[in-house]
Amino acid sequence: MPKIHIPTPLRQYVGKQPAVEVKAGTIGAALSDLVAQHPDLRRHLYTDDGKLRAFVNVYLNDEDVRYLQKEATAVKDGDSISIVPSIAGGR
Amino acid sequence: MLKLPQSAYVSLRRHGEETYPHECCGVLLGQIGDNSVRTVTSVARAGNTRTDSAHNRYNIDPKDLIRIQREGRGRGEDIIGFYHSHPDHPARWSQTDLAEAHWFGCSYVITSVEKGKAVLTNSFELTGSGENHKKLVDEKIEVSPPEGSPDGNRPQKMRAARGQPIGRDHAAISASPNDPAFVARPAGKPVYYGFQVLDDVNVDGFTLGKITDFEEEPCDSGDAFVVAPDNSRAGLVWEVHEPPYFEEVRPADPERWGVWAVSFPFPMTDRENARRNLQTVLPRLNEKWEAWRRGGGTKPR
Ligand SMILES: [Zn+2]
Repeated sequence: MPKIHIPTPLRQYVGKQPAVEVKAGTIGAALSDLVAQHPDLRRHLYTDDGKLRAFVNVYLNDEDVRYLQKEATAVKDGDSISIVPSIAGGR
Repeated sequence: MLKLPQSAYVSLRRHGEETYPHECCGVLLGQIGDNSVRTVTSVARAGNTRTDSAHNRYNIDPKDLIRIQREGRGRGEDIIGFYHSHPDHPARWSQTDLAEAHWFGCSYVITSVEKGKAVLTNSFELTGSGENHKKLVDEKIEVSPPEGSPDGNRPQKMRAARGQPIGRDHAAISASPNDPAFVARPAGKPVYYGFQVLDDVNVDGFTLGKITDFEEEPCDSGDAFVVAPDNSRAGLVWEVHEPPYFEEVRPADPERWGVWAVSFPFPMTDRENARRNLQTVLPRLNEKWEAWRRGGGTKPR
């Protein structure tokens, strides 16, 4: 099964696990399965109208899914999916 | 609270000096313990992708972050915070910093770098229940001394009450064979005898002496004293702090012209900065010395 790595601030919503295994064939299905398993996570990843929040980056192995087929990007057993909130700012 | 090994603290401050006048950024790795104490075990530098506006913006490439996260995982470390610099700008978070902070329960460390030199380093924890309710809250930084002194044969350093090494004057003669001179001060010797006077940290005839040894172990606060041109002395309880303050800890007496709690603007990392700090507080100190000299019932004999 593909595995989703959970960043430190979101682990409190997934029972403190560093990673969660999901049953899915695409990125979109993987994220859906993740929030189905851990409903508290939903509002931290999605806006009220159901869009992935702009600062949430989703990577399949080392690639940004925005530059692949986005939510339709295929995933397979052994793939590593990372959720990475952005790190930015300025004075 | 954020606990940093001294090497990490030095490294992230130096990073800001190296990228000046641009903002630097990087990742803090380690463990988050109970009661939200974050303990850093390593620091990873990152590139600033905001080449369009690097003097006042930073952004870490998520690809870098995934690599840093994976390498940390291999060592049993998690991402527990981030750091960036503010070139020629105070070490306080900005509205942009808050708006773009998304790692709740993590530390955001900011170092002000003035004219290429790191000045203050502050840390803030991102707290709140979500994007609509979030705050950056001041948190304490605790810098731990390096593990294992490079010179293992040296006798154990004497430590002041707060655990800092003492700046002893090894040439001072003690009145007791078993105690250092600053504990057993011989008759006729001035107050603070036995502590090292830094002859080259001198401004307008006033010289700084160190009680806690900031050269042995850089720190944000400590004890020191000032020797006036007439060789009279006053105590200093100093802290690297903004905004500035100058307060009385102990009034003047015949032996010394008071003990003063003062803020220093520059980090006490070397004697040049110590001299700049002395220069900053000297106008107030000079006032106190003048008042003591004029009498007021406190002049000796
Ligand atoms: Zn900033």
